[in-house]
Amino acid sequence: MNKLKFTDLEKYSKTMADSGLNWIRVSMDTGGIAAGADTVCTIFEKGVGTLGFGVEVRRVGSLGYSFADPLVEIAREGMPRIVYGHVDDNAAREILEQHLAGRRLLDDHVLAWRNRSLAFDGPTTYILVKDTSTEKGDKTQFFQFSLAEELKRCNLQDKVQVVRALDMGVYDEGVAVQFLPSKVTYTNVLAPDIARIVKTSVQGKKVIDDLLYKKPDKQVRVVMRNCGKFDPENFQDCLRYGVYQGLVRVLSGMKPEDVIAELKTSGLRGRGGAGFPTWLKWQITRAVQRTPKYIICNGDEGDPGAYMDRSVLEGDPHSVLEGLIIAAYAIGATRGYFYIRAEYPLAVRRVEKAIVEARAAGLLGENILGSGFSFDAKVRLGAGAFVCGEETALIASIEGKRGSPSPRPPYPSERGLFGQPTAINNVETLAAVPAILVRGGAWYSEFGAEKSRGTKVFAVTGKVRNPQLVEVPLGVTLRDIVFDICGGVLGGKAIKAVQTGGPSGGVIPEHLLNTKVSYESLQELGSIMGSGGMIVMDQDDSMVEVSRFYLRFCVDESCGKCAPCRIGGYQMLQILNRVARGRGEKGDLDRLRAISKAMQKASLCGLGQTAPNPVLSALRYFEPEFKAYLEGGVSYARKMSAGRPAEPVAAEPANA
Amino acid sequence: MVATATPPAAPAIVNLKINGMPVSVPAGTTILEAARQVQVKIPTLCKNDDLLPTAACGLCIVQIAGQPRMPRACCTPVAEGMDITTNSGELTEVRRTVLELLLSTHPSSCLTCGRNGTCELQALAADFGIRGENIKRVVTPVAPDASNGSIIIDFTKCVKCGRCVQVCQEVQDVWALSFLDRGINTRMAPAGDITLAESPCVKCGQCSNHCPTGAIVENDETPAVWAALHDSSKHCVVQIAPAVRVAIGEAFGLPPGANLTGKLYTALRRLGFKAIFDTNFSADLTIMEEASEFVERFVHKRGQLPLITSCCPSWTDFMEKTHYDFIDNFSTAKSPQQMLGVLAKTYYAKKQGLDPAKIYVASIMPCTAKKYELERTNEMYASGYIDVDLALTTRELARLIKQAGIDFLNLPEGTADSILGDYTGAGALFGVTGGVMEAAIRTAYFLVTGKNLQTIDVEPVRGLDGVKEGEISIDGTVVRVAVAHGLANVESVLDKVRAARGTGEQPPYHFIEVMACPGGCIGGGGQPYGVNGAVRAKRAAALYQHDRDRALRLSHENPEVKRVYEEFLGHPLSHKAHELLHTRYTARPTYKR
Amino acid sequence: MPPETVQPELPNQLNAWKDDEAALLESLEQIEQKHGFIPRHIAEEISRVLEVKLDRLRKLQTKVESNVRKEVDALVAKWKDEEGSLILILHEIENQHGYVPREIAMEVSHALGVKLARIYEVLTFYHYFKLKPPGRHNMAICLGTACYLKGAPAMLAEAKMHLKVEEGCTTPDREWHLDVVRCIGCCGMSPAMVVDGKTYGRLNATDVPRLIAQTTQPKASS
Repeated sequence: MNKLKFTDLEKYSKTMADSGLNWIRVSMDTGGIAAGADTVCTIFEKGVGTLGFGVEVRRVGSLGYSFADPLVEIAREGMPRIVYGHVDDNAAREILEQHLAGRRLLDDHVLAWRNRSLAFDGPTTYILVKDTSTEKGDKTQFFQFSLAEELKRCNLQDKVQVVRALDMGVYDEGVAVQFLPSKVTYTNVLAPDIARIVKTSVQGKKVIDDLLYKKPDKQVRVVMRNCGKFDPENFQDCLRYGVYQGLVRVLSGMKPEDVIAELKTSGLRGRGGAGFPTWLKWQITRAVQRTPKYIICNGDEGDPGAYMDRSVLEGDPHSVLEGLIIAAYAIGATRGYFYIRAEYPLAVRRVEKAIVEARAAGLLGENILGSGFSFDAKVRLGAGAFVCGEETALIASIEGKRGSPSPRPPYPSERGLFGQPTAINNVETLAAVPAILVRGGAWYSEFGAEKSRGTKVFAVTGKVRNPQLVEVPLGVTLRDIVFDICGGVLGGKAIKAVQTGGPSGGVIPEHLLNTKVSYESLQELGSIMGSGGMIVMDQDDSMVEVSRFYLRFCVDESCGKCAPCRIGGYQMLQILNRVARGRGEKGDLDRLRAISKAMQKASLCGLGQTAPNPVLSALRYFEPEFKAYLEGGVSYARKMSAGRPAEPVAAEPANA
Repeated sequence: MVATATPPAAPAIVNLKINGMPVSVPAGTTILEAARQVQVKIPTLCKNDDLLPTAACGLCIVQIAGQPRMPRACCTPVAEGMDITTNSGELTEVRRTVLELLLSTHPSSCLTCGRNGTCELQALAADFGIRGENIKRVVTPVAPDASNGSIIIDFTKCVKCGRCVQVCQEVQDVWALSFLDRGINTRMAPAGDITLAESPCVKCGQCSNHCPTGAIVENDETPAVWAALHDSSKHCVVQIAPAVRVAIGEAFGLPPGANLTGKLYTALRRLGFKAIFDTNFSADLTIMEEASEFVERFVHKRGQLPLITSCCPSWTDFMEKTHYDFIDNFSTAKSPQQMLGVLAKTYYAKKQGLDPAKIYVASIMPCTAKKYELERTNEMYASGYIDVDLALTTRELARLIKQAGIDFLNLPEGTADSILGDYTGAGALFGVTGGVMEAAIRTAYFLVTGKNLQTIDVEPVRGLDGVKEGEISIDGTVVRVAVAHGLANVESVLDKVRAARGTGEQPPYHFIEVMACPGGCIGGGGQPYGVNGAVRAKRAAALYQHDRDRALRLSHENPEVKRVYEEFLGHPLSHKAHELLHTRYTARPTYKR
Repeated sequence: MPPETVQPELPNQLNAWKDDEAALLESLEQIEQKHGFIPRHIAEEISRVLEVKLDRLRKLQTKVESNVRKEVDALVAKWKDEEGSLILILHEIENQHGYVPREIAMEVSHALGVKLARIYEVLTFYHYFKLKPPGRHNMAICLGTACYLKGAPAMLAEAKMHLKVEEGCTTPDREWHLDVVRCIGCCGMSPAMVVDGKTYGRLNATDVPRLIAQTTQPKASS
């Protein structure tokens, strides 16, 4: 690849991104590969040759619907674009025969729950149907049959296929029906409605208002804008989809101060968890008059239950690199590093490849795009230490030392990597930067609420029906995320709490789920936003066990340098261990609180300071449960650990 | 662990409030230091006056108005207008919990611990009035490491303050100690689970000198001394090093720098030693040998230059392990301790008509490595017996004196025994960095020119800078000297010599003095606790004063030294001198396994 | 992770030699027991033989050391101009050998000019690096929050029972090494584990014996 010029990139911005009428996109991230996407892709690659018409098979990043891996998106000329989930080898073969060759959709695999519309814009060719109620008895098949019969009666059976969907993004709304390609959706459809649906909507192309599902799709994909659209290892594709357009804008006339101003308008705050205003961090680092300066992308996503950064690094590495280059320009850095945990080998490989390609294209290195700005980036690996997500520990790790944090001040912006001014930004933050530069800070600030602007990617997992990655504007409620987008609790059980912020966060009990998600609101509730992991817990989950789990994690990951965290965490764990076994002692809760306070105040870094949060949060909202362990003793503990509470545990708030 | 950074636009003086009282200090001062101005001593454990803060223990936390956290005073620089509280109910509560946490992983064996009475953790527990075990004690037993005979590590008492690691790595550049594993399993240990004896440890004892608890202590050999003193068949004699006399007072509550030579002589005699000798005497003797050696090499071009001093056993160990390309540069002269030992069992024995087999030589040293030196090589048995039977540190002597019930500070002044007890000011200077060099120059000048220096004070080699350089003109020829103390300062000096070797140029120095311990022997690993720059300066000043106060200040004028040569050795570097007073070195690269 | 290349067999001579020495020691002990001492002529003869053997051993050691040196020199040459490359070098060694042998660590210390104490500080801090040889197969069960809630502890108990080994340990026959890792980022597929570098998701306890069997006796097709 030759070095690109501004004019080359401008051409790309005008190219039609989705070239090709027939293609298959297979989501190939670590999760997808673990589910078997590799073999599925091979089946496609071998099979398309027999079809007689051109079909491009692409390995793309993840769309984020992890519960339905392997994921496949199909475009077939004259058909609506379809996303299939749970595509195993058989389904793959059926896709080739039925969908591509036969123009018939597969039953039980279609995913259709974004970008719903409120009006018909053409004739219906497919109808998706799914019983979304959580009661016993699945009426999907019945409705499919009934609809098909009604269509036959109206002689439309050859024009419209009725398909059982896998998931339509609508939950507990009875039988749902979606018309393709318009994507009009009806819910709570009853058997008597079938006739009028066919008459009014299929034949008449009119919307039936009392059936129309009007709730808008809450997801806004900014950081994940490109994930699942193109092959992250195909540089041309990346360019065609507009990657590096942000860099073009920056280097064709913007000064570093202008870039920082745009970031300030956007209101972007660090997405790694601390929520520090990104523009301010860049400005402070910019102001230090010492060179060389460094910019580091923190890809050490160690929160258990979080995999957003991994998905973005695997699915859209060039955007993150673009963000890094822009950040470097803003602060005046000449060298940059990606610090990626070693447990993410695919992400490492894709980022390394992206760097090589960017260098060859002249987007990294000396005199980028002829602007006079020079910057190069390299990859550095973590090695199994969660604490290295902390700034100063990360710096120590790159310097080849133990990942022990250092006291601040001095802050890394003053004295960081190798003693030089350094800015460290999270993967998600950097991925949002190019979008902000292309569409403007004002556009980004439209999303979100007051002090928490923009969108955030959450990884919703645990006892949730559809674990997945969700990107929503800040200000959406927890209930929206868990129930509306992710389908509520697995098995229809009652929800107990949602844990946010990983091992530094806390639990939000059921009665507070209408909280709008923002940095401030979560802090007030005793939790934090963290990197975006959201764990759903149902009534079978013991809060004592959960807080013990998180504390054990902090004890394992503590670097051991400062006494409050090293010994405090360990002693807290000893206490929790005996409480969880039913052998708690008098004064244990007080001891937990006293040690927690010492850890929060006297620990050297965020790990120790926030390690007590899960425990304190569980105590705040579920103190009766702890008391039950202390009073009920060993037999109560045994019942709880088997996942069967002795009696329903009160979900009322204790005195906070 | 980084020194504080100064913001470019800060004023030279920062004004702030501590507990409501106004304080003004230079920018860059930490809160801990600033607080001293208003008589506030914020509790600390891991912070040591002599070292950079590690920020490990979390005891020195303070509250700053407008900040939610409790930052550490030891490493947070003051800022204009800060409103600091060092002493609130909340702070005390948190500090107490942190202390309880530290105690909960510490063995409760104070009564049988080597730091009973001097332990910093013990002092904190006492000050905080800890009564009872609120948090259950959890201590995993680990076998102590007593493998190298000079210091003993009891890992269960380590509070992970990081002082010993900082000293061993940054100050001494030896890297025998490190932190391994992480979290609650963090332990201080030599690299990769080997014993101290197998590690690069040079036994300088700086770790034991800086450790706040009983985790690292000197190997206490006082029982052996008592056994010898109470053995009627033994004739016990003792020698006392220059650096001990200006520091022992601190173990009895005196400020640093009190010269207690006379009281020491009395105390030792009352302990039961039959003869009191002074290592300063053999220091003069060492100078005779070493200065003659220098003349051989420098004037008569017989032997390698630069000549490097070898009286520090930590340094020779370090050289044999790491810088063995300089073996031929080392002075083969033994250390004063060893020279006195061998003379005691030959010259002294003969003169007094004693059976050398019955002579027991004890030495009181500021140094833990001297215990190692006793059996360093075969040459340490040159008298036909082990030349020095036992080396005790200053700290052990203090305990010995207290055990014997001697009211040390009120003792009358005593004297040493002649033939091995008289010394010049030059000998006394051995205890301070640059002292050996100064003494050697004073005598070398005489040996070459036959005259004494006009000013015998050699200023360029004095002071506490890590590396000192100087040029002395001996009869028109310039002698370039370098003095290094603290082993981390050695590398740059030797690298210069190596560079010159590589290009065939003249060596940048002709004579190099190295002392392993910062400050020289006065900062030795066996000296009383609490050393820092100011203490070293006071101890050093006391020795320089002692030199000025001596009637004779040149080693070659020591009458007892002259007599030893006349009556016994012949002349410096004679065959007999070589037999008894010189040693050899072998390359012993580190890490045998 | 065990290296992929084929390992040459131990030479037969090495095994024979080991037995040789044991037999020799035994007969010496018998002589000493019977006579109370070892006669001089026997001792002298054995000393001579030992000298020859020692000499050969020294040559062997030099060969092994030079091999280690070559490997380390290649690594260091690749990384020597990079700042902050120590952890990357250790990663390469870990990937090549499955652990970081002490001889190689010492050679790296030598070649890079980094103190061995610093290298061990780093090696023992980061859980990724192993100091003991690994098993032929590696099972790493994820115990991140999502996996924990969805039954990973049961999988772990099952694995411990089947492999008869504790977490973080290798079986005595060095066939299997069992690890617990914290979040491999497959939370959507929880519970998950990695066996010999391959990730498996949506598992339960009954999958454990199946995966073990499948790995130790790989079938023709997946």
